[in-house]
Amino acid sequence: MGAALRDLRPVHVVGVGLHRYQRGSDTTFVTLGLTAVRGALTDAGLDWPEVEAAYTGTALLGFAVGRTMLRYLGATGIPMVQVENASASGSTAFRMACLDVATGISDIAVAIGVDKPEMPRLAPARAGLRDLVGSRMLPVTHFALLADEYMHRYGVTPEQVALVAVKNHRNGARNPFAHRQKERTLDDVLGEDPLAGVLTRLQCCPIGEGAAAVIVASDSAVERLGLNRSRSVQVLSSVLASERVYPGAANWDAELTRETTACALAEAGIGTADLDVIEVHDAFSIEELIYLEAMGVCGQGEAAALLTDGAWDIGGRCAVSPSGGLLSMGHPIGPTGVGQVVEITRQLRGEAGDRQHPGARTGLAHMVGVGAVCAVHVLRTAE
Amino acid sequence: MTRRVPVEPTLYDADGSAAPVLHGRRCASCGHAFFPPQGYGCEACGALPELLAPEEMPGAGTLVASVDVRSHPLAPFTVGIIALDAGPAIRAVIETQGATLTPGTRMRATLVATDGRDGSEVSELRFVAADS
Repeated sequence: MGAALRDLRPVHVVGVGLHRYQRGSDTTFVTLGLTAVRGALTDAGLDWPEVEAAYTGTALLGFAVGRTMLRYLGATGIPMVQVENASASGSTAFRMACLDVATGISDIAVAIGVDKPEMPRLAPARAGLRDLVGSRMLPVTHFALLADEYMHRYGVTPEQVALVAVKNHRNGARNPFAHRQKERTLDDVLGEDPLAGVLTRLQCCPIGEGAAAVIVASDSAVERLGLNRSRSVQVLSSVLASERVYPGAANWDAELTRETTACALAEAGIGTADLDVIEVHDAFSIEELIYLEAMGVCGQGEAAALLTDGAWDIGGRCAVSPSGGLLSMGHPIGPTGVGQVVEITRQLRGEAGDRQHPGARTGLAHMVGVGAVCAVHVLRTAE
Repeated sequence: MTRRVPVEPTLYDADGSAAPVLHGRRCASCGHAFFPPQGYGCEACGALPELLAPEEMPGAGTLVASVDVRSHPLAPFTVGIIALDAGPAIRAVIETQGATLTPGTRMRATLVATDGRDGSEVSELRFVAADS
C-alpha cells in the first residue's frame, strides 16, 4: 500500500486562470493555453521562472503540445509533459503537478489543460474487438441506457433528469468563461427531439475549445515567495482509479465513481456532509444524479427529488457544478478537469461572484474518462 | 441508399436455426464469463488466453434498459442492455416490433435478414421480447 497525498508535503493551489470555453475558432491552442497560464501567474503573483514543472492535459491536439505553447513565456528549460487520460486528461495533469510538489521534486508546478475540437483516434475502437452494436453505441446512447435503467428503478421522470440541465445552465449563465452562457427553461431543454432515449441536445455537453491552468506550490514556496496564504487552497487528496470487473448488470460507471470517491474522502479525512461544492462529470444530465448517489452525497434514488427541492443549487445543501458543469461551462476535454479545480478554488476563496456558494470551505472535483478511469480531488480553504 | 451493419460471424451462429447461440467465453481459472469474446486475457483474474474457453451462451435473458436512437447515420433504431441468463450483461440491437419494452422484460435472440456489404443478404443477431 502506497502513501496518500496527505502523507507527503502539503500542496496548495496558489493561482488559477482560464481561457473561455467556446465553439472551435481560428484561435490557436497556443493563444488559448498562454491566456490561461498568464492568468494563473497573475492570480498567484508569480513570474514564470518560478515555475519548476509543467504538466499539460490534452487529448486531441497531437504530440509536443507543451513546449510549442509554453516557450513563449520565456524558455526556462523546465520539464514539460503532456498528459492524455481521455476526458480525465486535465484532472490527471493536475494530479501529476500535485505529486511533483508533494514529493518535493518541485516547489511550484503548473497543470494546464488545452484542447481544440478535433476528432480523436479512439484506441478502444482499434483493439480488434467486435460486438453486436458496433458504431451504434455512441456516448449519448450509453448514458441514455443508464438513464432508462435509473428512471425505471427509482420512478424518476424524464423531466426530473432534464432539470439537471436547467440548473447547470442557470449556473453557467453566470460564468463568463462558460461555453453556454444562457439560462434554459425545462421547456427549452425538452423542446427538442431526443438524440437517444430521453436525452436531448441541451442534456449533452458541448465540446469546443478552451484552456485552464492551476499553479500548485509547497509551504516553503508560499513562504519564500510571500504568496497570499489566505487565498491559497489546500489539496487534501488526489485519487485516480480505473475500472475493475463488477458483477452482473451493475452500473459500472457508478461503481467506479463510488470506489474512487470513497477513497478520496477517506484520504482527505472528511465525509460527504463536509462537502460544500462539487464539480461533477455531467457530460450528460443523468450522470449528475447517478454520480451524486454513488458518491454517497445522498441515498440511492434520492438525487432527483433533492434536485427538485433545490438541494444542489448554489445556496442549497451542496452546490453541484456551480461553474455550469460540463453541460454549460462545457467539455473541451483537456481543460475540463483543470477548470473544475479553478471553479472550486474560486468558490473556496469566496471569489466566485454571483455564483458564490455561501460559506464554501470544502470542495470535490470529479472526472471520468472513457476506458474507464476516474479522478477525484478534494480541496479545502486555507485555515 | 440505406446503410446496413454487416453480420458478425465470430459472435454468434447464423445458420438460420430458431434459437441462435452467442459465442461467449469463460475463464477456466476464475470462472468469469463474458461476451463479446476476446482472446487477450481474463479481465477478472489475468489468466492467459489459452484459459479462456469458448462457451455457447443461449440467446435468452432479461432486459435491463433500452432506448430509441434518433440521431445517428443508421437511425432510427433501438438498442438495449440484456442480462443474459448465462451471466454477462450485453448490448444488442432490439427489434421492438412497435411495443414499448420495459426493464425486466424477458428477451430472446433472433436472426434478422439484412443486406450485406456486397448486396447479398446476411443475418444479424438482434433481440426481441420473448413472448413475441
